[in-house]
Amino acid sequence: MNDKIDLNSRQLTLLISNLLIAKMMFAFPRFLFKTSGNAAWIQAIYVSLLAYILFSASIWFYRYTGNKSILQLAESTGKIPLKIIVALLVTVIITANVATEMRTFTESVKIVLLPKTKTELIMIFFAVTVIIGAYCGFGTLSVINALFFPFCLFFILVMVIVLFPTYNVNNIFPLFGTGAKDIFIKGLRDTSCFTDLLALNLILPHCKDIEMVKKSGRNAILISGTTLVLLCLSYGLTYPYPYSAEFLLVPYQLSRMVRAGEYFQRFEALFEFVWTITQLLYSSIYIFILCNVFQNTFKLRYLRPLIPCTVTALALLSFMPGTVVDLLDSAYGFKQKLIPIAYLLPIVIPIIYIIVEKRRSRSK
Amino acid sequence: MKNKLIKIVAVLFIIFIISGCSDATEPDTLGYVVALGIDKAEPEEAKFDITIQFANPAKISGGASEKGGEGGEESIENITVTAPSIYSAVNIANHVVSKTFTLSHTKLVVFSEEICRQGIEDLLETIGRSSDIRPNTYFAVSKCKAKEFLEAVNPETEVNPVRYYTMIFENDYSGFVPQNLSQDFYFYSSSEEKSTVLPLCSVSEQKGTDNFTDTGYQYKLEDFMAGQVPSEKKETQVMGMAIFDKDKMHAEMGDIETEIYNILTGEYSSSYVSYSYSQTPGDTITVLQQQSRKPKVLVNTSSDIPKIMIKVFLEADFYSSTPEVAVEDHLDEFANEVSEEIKKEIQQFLSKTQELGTDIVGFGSYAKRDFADVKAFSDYKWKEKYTNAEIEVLVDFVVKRTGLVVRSENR
Repeated sequence: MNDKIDLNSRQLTLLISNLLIAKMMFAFPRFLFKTSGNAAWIQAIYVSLLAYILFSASIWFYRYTGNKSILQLAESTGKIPLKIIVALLVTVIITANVATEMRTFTESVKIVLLPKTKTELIMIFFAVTVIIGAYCGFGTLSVINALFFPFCLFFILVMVIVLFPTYNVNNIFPLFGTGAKDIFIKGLRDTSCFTDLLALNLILPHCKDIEMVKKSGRNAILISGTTLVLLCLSYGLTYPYPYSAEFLLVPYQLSRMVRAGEYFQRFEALFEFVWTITQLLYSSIYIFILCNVFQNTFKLRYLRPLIPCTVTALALLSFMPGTVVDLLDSAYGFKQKLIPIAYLLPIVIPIIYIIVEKRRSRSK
Repeated sequence: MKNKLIKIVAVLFIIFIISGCSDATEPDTLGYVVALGIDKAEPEEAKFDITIQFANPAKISGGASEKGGEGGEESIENITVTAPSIYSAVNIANHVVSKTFTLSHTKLVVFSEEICRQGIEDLLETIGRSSDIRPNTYFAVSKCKAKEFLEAVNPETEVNPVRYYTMIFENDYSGFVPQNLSQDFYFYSSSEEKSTVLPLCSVSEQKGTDNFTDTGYQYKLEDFMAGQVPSEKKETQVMGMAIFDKDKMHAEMGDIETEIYNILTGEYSSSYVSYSYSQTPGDTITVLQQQSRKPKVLVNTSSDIPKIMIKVFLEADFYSSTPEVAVEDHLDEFANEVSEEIKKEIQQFLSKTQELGTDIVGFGSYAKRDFADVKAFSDYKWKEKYTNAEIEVLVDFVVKRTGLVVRSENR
């Protein structure tokens, strides 16, 4: 991203939407159902609203900092040491997100598509494709994403509509699922879904102005929040509790239920295609951003040589949990611990920057 | 030039690696399981005798033979193995028949009554976990041995055996089979809000019962269960339903009660129903009855005795009447009489479910609306309360059309 890449508002919106929605296509909605039962759709509205408020708060400070990324702000404020600390934190958050998603993707493919193929082999093919994707560069990825992602959103919308005959309103009652406390207190940890908004703070220098970032960020939260609510509502209306909290892949389960007459069944084949492309774009974009963080932090001349090593490291890291159960337990638990950092970093760093800059201007 | 060469090699490499797959399976190596039959094994320790019914593609229309398929018995084959679970049976069968069996096209799983009385929780797990088995597979309880039922299946009218089962279990012109897919059974078999049912199936016993109904609803029709419809040859029958409490079969009901069940759950589409009419005693009036809209259900749980109100909406077209009386001139009177008969039948049906302590209609699903969270509903202990519930039944029955004839003195 050293080259100047000007993303337009649509591309930026869809890019952030992809980063937010990719995990909703896999195991994430299940956590909402585990937390609050079939009131997951209420929790989805709640976490989306919280994400919107936190994003608005963070972007408010950027009025005073301009188009500088979080790393640039850290460097201006605390020189190299602070920049390295921030870069490390960002790396940990992105690594946790991407490594978990890479493993979830390969395990999901193994379960539903290629039961006889080794997970390692699936991961190798996936990693190679992600490397190729990241090599193409940020601009290319944004353009491809802008072309493909509306199709993904359209697919989800069609699935939700086609499933209409399977909906049973009684399934979403009792209205507060496992309880209001579960939704509004325990449910706070599920705001982890929106931690990817941090990526927006990293690609700020590539945006035209802060107004565009504000608009795109809000639109992305609106799109992904609506998608999450629709998926949860659709799943909750189709699957009664407690069985709704059992299935690993919520959108996949929904696609299996599609049955429009005798001839339009096995919708999951189309779903698996959308799934794969979304995940490839998600991982490629993140790998590129991660490499860019390294490049900027350590002032490296080239970015591309970092890509294969980063992907390899993430792929190896993703295999740390031995089983799918360990993956869900440890990786998701770890990600939840990172939520405060992911939300606070884009707020705290600009505040420190503003204070330091004011002191500097006073001393001058 | 060098870059171009690298790109061409890369493209060729990708083409070759993505065109092959370690999971690839040729369709002719697969054995498509159409139905599974599960019986208790002897000795009991062996757990189950599992009959695998698979399609013989060469005999199905459009199959390998140039003249087209033959259909009938020829299109399916059966193999029975003893195994502790469904997939163990598939594993054994893979070593007996020169095909790799897949359950992705399985349409029916038949459990013997003996197994259902003991509970089928273990077998249900397979349905939920496996990505092979479709959620719209049918479950049924066989009054005879499941193996016997599957071996008697002879899809004479269908060349595709899957289509045969679809037509039997999804017939829009029949109310005698409960519309309940495996997914529903899986979801509600251990639910606190409702009990569940499965269709009954059997091989014909070649003798009828003397159980003629003299009530107005399905006048002079026998309350058949599967296997009881008189038949000259040995053939399969699907009719009536088995009632489950959790995963164990608890009781059974005949075809007429099954039709009432379908009306109450809103899954009823249409069927031919015969009624008696006080103006023409001894004669039957047959109508094509349809559910004009889903039943309206209200449940009040403010006291320890829940109050339930259910209103069903039915409309009918005359298909046969009596020439002696112009029923068209007394449509309101006829509709009122029929409404009363349906109401009486529904009340009897619901009383029976209350005696059995099984809320198969699913009033509990509506009762949930009165509670803020799952725990509050669970504490109310719906299933216990249901047995004492006060139920009000309302029937909205309208005769809409009279067929091609309007026999009326006044109109």
